[in-house]
Amino acid sequence: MIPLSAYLGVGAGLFTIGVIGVLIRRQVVAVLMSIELMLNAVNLNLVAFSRSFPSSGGKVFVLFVMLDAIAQAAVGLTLALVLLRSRATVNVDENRLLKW
Amino acid sequence: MLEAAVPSRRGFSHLEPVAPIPMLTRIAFALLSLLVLGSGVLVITRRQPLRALRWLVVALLGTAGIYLTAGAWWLFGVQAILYAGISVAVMVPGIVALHVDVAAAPRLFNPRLKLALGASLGLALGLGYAILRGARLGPPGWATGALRSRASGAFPAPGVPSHAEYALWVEVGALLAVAVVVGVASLVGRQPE
Repeated sequence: MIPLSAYLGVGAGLFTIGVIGVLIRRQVVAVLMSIELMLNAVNLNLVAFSRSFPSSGGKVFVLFVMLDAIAQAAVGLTLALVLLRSRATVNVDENRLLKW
Repeated sequence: MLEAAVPSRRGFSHLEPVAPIPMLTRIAFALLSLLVLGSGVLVITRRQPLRALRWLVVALLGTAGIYLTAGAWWLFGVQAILYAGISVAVMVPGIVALHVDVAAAPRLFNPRLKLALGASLGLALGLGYAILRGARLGPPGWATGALRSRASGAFPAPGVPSHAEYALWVEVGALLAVAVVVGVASLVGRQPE
């Protein structure tokens, strides 16, 4: 059996890559994809813990996280569209106001 | 898998199954891990959003393969078919509608690149330390009692508790999904001021 630490290591690596993407990318779309990577890493950890500790709660929670990831992608892209209409840019560096 | 899941404070090794390890599973896990991490790097370094989305799908499918190595067959199907598919279905129209002009963007990364990389390095070191410490010490004391009580019996497939123990939260999630759909529709129809 693959040790739990291996799953957690992959999850930590993927989460760190997502954090790097959120922090360094300028496009809204790229930031959204990086958040998807982070949520994917969270799912990986939940499945790994659910496998090692006999509970199906983690796997059920993965479904909620998937739902949340899809919803944030839909809302984020919609906000980017609205932002593009009003500010003519989707770069996060050039949009510093919460109201637009 | 279940019979060995008796928690202790001597590390995670006591929670691992005692069945013989198929070498194929380990090889598949290693390859899929490399695929997922490499795809993740490509997601955040591609300039074209559609190409980044392609690598995001590869990362999602690779993660679904890792679910297989963990024995989560049901989640493999959900991740590979529903999650990856819906992500593409949601993101492709959004990216196309945005008309991201990558040629007009002078820089791919923002000016605070070094600060962001430093913060991410700190995060990676913290996570690595926590994983190594957890592997050495095992689960905390407050968790061992609950885990021991659960280790005595088999646990049901995820669909059963989602409709029994988590029925309320499934309903709450469905209502939030409806709110998301309504919010997206109203935002798209909003006229710029």
